Formats: sequence, structure tokens, C-alpha cells
Amino acid sequence: MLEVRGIVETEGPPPWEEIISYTPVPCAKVELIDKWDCANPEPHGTRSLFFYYLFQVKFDEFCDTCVCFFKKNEPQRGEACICNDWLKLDARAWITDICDNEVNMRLPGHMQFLDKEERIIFHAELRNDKCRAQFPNTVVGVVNGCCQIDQRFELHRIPDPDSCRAEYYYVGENVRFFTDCGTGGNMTFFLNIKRTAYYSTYADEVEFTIEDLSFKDTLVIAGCYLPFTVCLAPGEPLTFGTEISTDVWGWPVDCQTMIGKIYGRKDTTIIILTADTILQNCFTTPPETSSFLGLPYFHYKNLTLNWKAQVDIGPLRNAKPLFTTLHIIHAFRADSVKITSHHPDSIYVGDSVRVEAWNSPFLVDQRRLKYDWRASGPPGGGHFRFAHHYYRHNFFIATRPGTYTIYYTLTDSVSGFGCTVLRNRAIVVKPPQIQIVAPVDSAKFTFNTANPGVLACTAYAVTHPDRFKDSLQWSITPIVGSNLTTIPSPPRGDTVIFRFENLPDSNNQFGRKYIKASLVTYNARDSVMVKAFFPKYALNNPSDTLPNWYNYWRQTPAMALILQHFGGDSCNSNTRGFYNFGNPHINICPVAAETSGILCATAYWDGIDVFAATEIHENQHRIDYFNWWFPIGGYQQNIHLDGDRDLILNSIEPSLGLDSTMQDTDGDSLIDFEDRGYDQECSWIRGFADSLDWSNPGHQY
Amino acid sequence: MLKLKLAYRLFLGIILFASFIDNSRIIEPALGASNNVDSLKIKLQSPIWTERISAAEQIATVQDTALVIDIIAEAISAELEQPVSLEYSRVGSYASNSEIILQKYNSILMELGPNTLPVIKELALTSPRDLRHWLISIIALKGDTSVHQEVRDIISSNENRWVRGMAVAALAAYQDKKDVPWFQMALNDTNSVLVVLDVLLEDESRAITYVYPIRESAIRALKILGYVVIKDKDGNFALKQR
Repeated sequence: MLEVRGIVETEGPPPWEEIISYTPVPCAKVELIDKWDCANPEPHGTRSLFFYYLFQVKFDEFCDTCVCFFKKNEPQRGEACICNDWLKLDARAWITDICDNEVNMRLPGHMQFLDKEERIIFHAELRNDKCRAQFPNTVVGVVNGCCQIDQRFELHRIPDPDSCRAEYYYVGENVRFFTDCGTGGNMTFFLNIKRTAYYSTYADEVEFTIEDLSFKDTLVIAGCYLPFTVCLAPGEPLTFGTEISTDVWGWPVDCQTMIGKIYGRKDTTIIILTADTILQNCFTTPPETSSFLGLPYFHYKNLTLNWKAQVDIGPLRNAKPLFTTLHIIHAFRADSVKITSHHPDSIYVGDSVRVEAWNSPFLVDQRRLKYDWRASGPPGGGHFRFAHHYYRHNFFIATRPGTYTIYYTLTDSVSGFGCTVLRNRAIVVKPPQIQIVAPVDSAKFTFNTANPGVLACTAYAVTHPDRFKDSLQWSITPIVGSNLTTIPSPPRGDTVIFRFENLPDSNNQFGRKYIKASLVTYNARDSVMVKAFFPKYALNNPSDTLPNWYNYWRQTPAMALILQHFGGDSCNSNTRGFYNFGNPHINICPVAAETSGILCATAYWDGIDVFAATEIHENQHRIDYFNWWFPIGGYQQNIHLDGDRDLILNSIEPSLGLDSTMQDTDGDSLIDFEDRGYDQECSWIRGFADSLDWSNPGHQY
Repeated sequence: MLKLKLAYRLFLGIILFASFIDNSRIIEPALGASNNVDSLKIKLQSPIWTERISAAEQIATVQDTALVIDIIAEAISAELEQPVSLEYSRVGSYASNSEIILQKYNSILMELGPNTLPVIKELALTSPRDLRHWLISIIALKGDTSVHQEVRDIISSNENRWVRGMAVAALAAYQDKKDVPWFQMALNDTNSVLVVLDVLLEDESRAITYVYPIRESAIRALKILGYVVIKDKDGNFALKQR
């Protein structure tokens, strides 16, 4: 498509930026009065094809009824047209860089005049096949003239023996000549004249942008990275980055390297000019500098940049977007945020963080620029001391931990223009830190020997920052069956005393207890594990009659599922336990808790292991009694039944590998009957119940 | 006696140096170890019997075996002369705490290598009677037959039941049928120990029994030699070949 656009200068109101629409009216007459021309081939295999049109437009007597429309899709009626005057319009287009041997050009398109709708649609196909192309004799066009629609016309080719040259003429008065510069092809010429009147005093030049050629040279400046409001500090050049897409397919790669520039123009002033950096099918970023400098403070301006592109020293062509409007506030700029109190890495909830705006101009005190501070972060998590004011500093107080982004907007209270900070600042607000100083992890606490027994534990913690210490809340794992009180109550502050009264019923209630100090609001906590023990020999457990060790050890695997009683008259200093022939139960003696030594000929045993071994030992006697003596009516001291008086039936001893004439068959200084008890003790795995031994002293204390 | 032992050790050291170059056990205590040994020797005289056992176990780790023999022999002598504890710490045991200590001393001497036998024999020559008899039993237990007759004599002559019992056990180690008369003599040894059990009889009286340790040892030895000991209704023992 060949599109013609132009800039119309007027003597009246500000320049129109773009014609959006129009409505044809039967009011104008258009004449085509000039011809096309073509330059000769240029060196290096390129040639230029130059199109040139000259039109005359004359509005007829119906001109007064013309309706003129202007930009922004807002029709404005009633404007006067200039009637019965011929306006001269010329239209030109350059096509460059056509390789000598590879020209394949198609020119569908139209011309659009700004002040008259006169559309010329070309369909041209030119080939450089050494003048052997066939040109049609007739090119048909349609003229939508004033007061009539789709007026057809024909361009006739003048026969020429030189096939390198084709010449067409209009059937009407206007004869046009076409010189094909050694190329061949077909052309369909449409002249579309629509009845349109425009408010315009004159239009003396129309520039073409050629699009949709068989090779494309559409240049698009995306412009999306260009802020529409630029806060330009005084004395600084306009800087920005944008993206340019060049899509120039179809150009013969081997033919030549394309060189292009991008122009950003305000009127005729070039503000942005790239180097020759446009590359084929590549993106180009123009330099971030310009010749446009910021003016002194408190000035602002709207600036519209018109983008042009120049490819291979051809004419400047409009680029897309055609225009970019900038609001350039060349008075001040919000640069960055600085934190001027607290180390950025150690900001805690509740800290008042002094922030300071760095901007240009760097005014310490003034009454024009307002600072509007904002923070993004956890919802409801922080606020500034001053909502907005004229000083550069402010104070941010975070009430919740998290990451906040601090930024501000600098607003000129006179013009209302504002600049938001370019580089905001992220700060990480930490929750308060809690450290339980006492008790230390794995500390051991024992109920005292009083009745009721009391276990007291003093806990102390520090917070960072220190101001949170009074808000500390404490807890400890309960001991079921024991009454817990705290000082203070409820347990708050940096020091708390936990006091348990009464030993629990269950052995499982001793052991690991967790003391926690927390600041619920800030989800901060610390905890330590402590261990609770019972005094081994005291008698202050709920049983009232049994020593603590016996009461609690019997709840562990150290006691098998057999009946047992504690103590008895036969207990003495070297009797850990005993069995009374005929009883269903065994007896455990106090010394069982105190005995230590080598058991099982292996290792040093004591405590809960000796307790378990004693029980196993006595149970073996019980089993032997019920196996041997109970069936014959009980023990009888009879030489025929027990010749060696070792309490083992003579008849049984051989089956046990024992000698019925010897009390100590194996010579280990223990009589055979006791050997059975001692041997059985070895079935206990030393340490098996250690993890449940919460006696003090004991295997975990 | 100390001079003699030192001279002997010097002599033995020369001989052993020539014949047992690799005998690593004959080395002097490390510097500073002497103080430790002295403290252990004191501990061996502790009134607490378990401490004596503990000290003996530590003495056994001293590398100077002659010194170990010296110290243990002295401790045996002291225990025989004045037992630290005649109580029975284990229910059902007929070995008093002092006998348990002596058993520990025996095990230490028995675990020493065969090259220590001359040292023990030399020491036995110069020791008091009970210690000499005890050491002769140790020598016999280590398999030395040169003291066979002396062991027999101990059974028939020594008044100390522990020494006699040790001699019976040592004689049993020879497994010699010619010793049967001495075992028969031991069968009639009336030395007995009251053993209390951790059992009450149906009438709730404590179960007790008497054990004859020397007789038990003799029966055990004769059993090894193939005899069965039969006790008639009058309480006399008779042997029967199996």
C-alpha cells in the first residue's frame, strides 16, 4: 500500500497532529497535472525511483456545504472551505536501494491528502529483467471525484519500440508519463477523489511513507519504554530508552548493508538522533541522550516528538508511532530513598527508621515540593510519621515483620505535577529476637524431697530489642497430676518462675518439658528443653508408702508382668529381693536400688538395671518352686529328695546338667539354686529402660 | 628381699634380653608412673574390699610384670593374714569378699605370660609360709610339675582353709590319678560355710545350707579323674570308678 501522509501547517489554531477520519462531500474537483519521473541508475548497483505528482484541487460551487472534520474523531462542522481556488499539491515518493537484478516491487497503496481526500492507488509490478518485461497497454484507474463516485479512468501506454521504456497517458486531459528506468511491470492506477473539504489555508507539501512494498521498510518505535512523564532534573539531558523494530525483509542481503538512523523531532528540531545503528531485522535501541536539556526549577512543558526514520540516506520517513507526547517536568526529579538511621540489616518491628528523599533539586527546606511517602509490604504493617510534608526526611515505623518497599512522590504544589521516585528502597523488618538465657537447654530439675514435692524452675530471657522483654509470654509443658503455678501469673516478662507441686502418678510425666517464651504478635519465640526428675529415695509420690524409685521404675519395662511386693521382714543389707516359697508374688527390697557392681560377669550394673535383674532373679526362684516343689506338696528337707541340700530336686539336677552330690557344680562359689537366678539376670539388656529412668540419681541424671 | 629381687630382675633381664628380644612386657614403668603405682599399692590396703579389687585391676595394667608380681604377692599375703571382709556380698555365695579379692589376685597372676614363672618361683622361695604355699599353687596351676609334691603337702599340712582349698584346686589341675589319696583326704575336710539364700521356705524361715568348699573341690577333681563320690548313711565317702 502506498500511503501518503502530510503535515499541514496553518495560520490558525495549533497544528493538527493527525487526521483520523473524514467524510467525503461532493464539493471538490481534482486534477492531476504532473508526471512521474525516475532517476538514472546510481553507482554500486542501486538506483532510485522517484515518483512525483502534482495535483490541482478546486472546490466547486457546493463548497459551502462542505463538512470538515478534524482529528480526534470529533467532527467540527461549519468551518468554511475555500472555494473556487485551485490548490496545488504535490506528492513525492522515493524508492531507493533497488538492486539491479532483483527488483520485485508491488505498489498497492493510496495517497491521502490532508486537506482533500484524493487517493491514488497503485498496483505496480516492476521487474528488472533486462527490459524484457511486458507492459500492459492500458492501466485502469478509478477516480472518486467530487460529486461522483468511482469515476474510472484509464492510463494508456504509448507504444514504444524500446521495451525499456513505458509511457502511459490519461484518457482525459491529463497525460502522464512513466519512465520505467529499465525495469518492466504492470501498473494499475487508481485515482480516488472523494468529496471532502477541510479547514485549511494551504497545504504545500505532502510526504509519502511507503509501506507494503515487496520489500518492507517499516520502522516501528515501540515507545512503550518511554514514560509519558519525564522528570528531568535541571541541566540534565533528556534520557530514555526505547525499542525500535526494523522489519526490512526482502532486501537482498548480499546486495548491501543497510544503514539507518532514527530521528526524534520536535517540529524541525532534532531532539533524538541515533547513530547508524538500525540493522536488518534487528531491534535497535537509540542512545539515552538527547540535545534537550532540562530548564531551571519549576518549569514544565509538553513535548511531542515526531519520529522519523532514515534508511540508507533516503528521505526521512515517518516511523511508528508517529508521535509521542511527553510531559517533561524539567524542574525536579525524585531519585532515591536513603535510610539515615539504623543499620539496614538490623531493623526490628517498632523501630522508627529515618528515611530521607534524595531528589533534584536538593532543597533542604522549601515550601513548594511536597513529599508523599508510601510503603508497600505486609498489610497494615507500617506507617510514616508524616503523611506528606515539605521536608525531605520522614520516619517509617513497621508494626509487622516483613519486607517493605519505601518510595515517595515529589509533587509540585503549584503545577500539580509529580514525580515518583526512580529507585525505591527495600528494607527488611525483622521480628524481635528472643533468647532464653536460663535454664540452658537440657537442664535438669528435680522435685524436692518434701511432701508434697515441689519442682521450681526459674526462666529468664532477653529480647532484642530490649523493649520487648516485658511483653514476653511464657509456657511450659504441664506435668499431669502436678499443680503448676507461675510467678508472675500470668507468666509475662523477662523472668518467670514455674512451680510444680505434687509428684505425678505416672512416670511418663517426668522427663522432657519445653519452656517457651514468645511474642505472639510478632510470631517470635524461643524454647528450651528441660528434664524433670524425681528424688530417687524420697517417699513423696502419690503412693505414700513406696519409695519413689520403686513406684516409678515399676511402671517401666524394668518390671515384668509379675506380682511383686515391696520390702518385707527378710530384706537386709545384702538382699535385693526374695521369694517366699508358695507365694504368688516376689519381694523387692530397698537395697535393690542401692546395689551396684559387676552383674552377669560383664559390666557394671546399678540403678534400674539392678532393679530389673533382681526381679528376674526372684521370679526364677518362683518359677522353680512351682515347677519342682509345688507339685509334690512343697519343699521338704529330705536327703532322698535333695541330697546336697541345694533346694533342687535330685531327680531334676541331671536334666539341668547339675550334680546332685554337689551344691556348686560349676565351682563358681554360688550354689546351683542361686546360679539359676543369677544366670537368668543376664536376660535383661543392660540400659534397656534407661530412657524411662527419671530418678535422681539415675541413668539419665 | 628387695635387693635380691632387683638382682634377680637384672639377671633375668640379661637372660631374657638374649632369648626374648620381643618380650615387650618387661619394660620399666614410664616416667611418672611410679607415683601412680605407689598410690595403687596404698589402695590395695583399703578397708573397702571393692576398692582393693579396683586397685588390683589397675595394677594388672602396669607393664613391668615383675613389679606386678611383687605387688600382687604382697597383697595376697596381706589378705591371707588379715582378711579385709569375711562378709558375703552375694546371696547364695560361699565366697566371702576377701575370697573374691584373692580370686582376682589369682586371675591377674594366671594371666601373666609363661616367662613370669621363674619370677614367681623365685619369689615363692623367699616368701612366708602361707604366701609360699599360695604361690606354689599358682605355679602348679600354670602347669609346672616341679611343685607337684609340695602341693600335696600343702593339703595335708596347711591350717588355712583358703590355702588348702587353693592347693586342692591346683592339684586337680594335674589330673593325676596318683593324687586320689589327697583328694580323699580333702573329702573329709570339715571346713564349711553357712550360705543364706534369698528364699523363704513355706514356714517363712530363711532357707540356709552349709557348703564344704574343699570337699566340693575334691569331688569336682575326682569327677574329672573318673570317680563317683558316694556318701553313705553314716556320712562316710566312698569312691566308685565310673
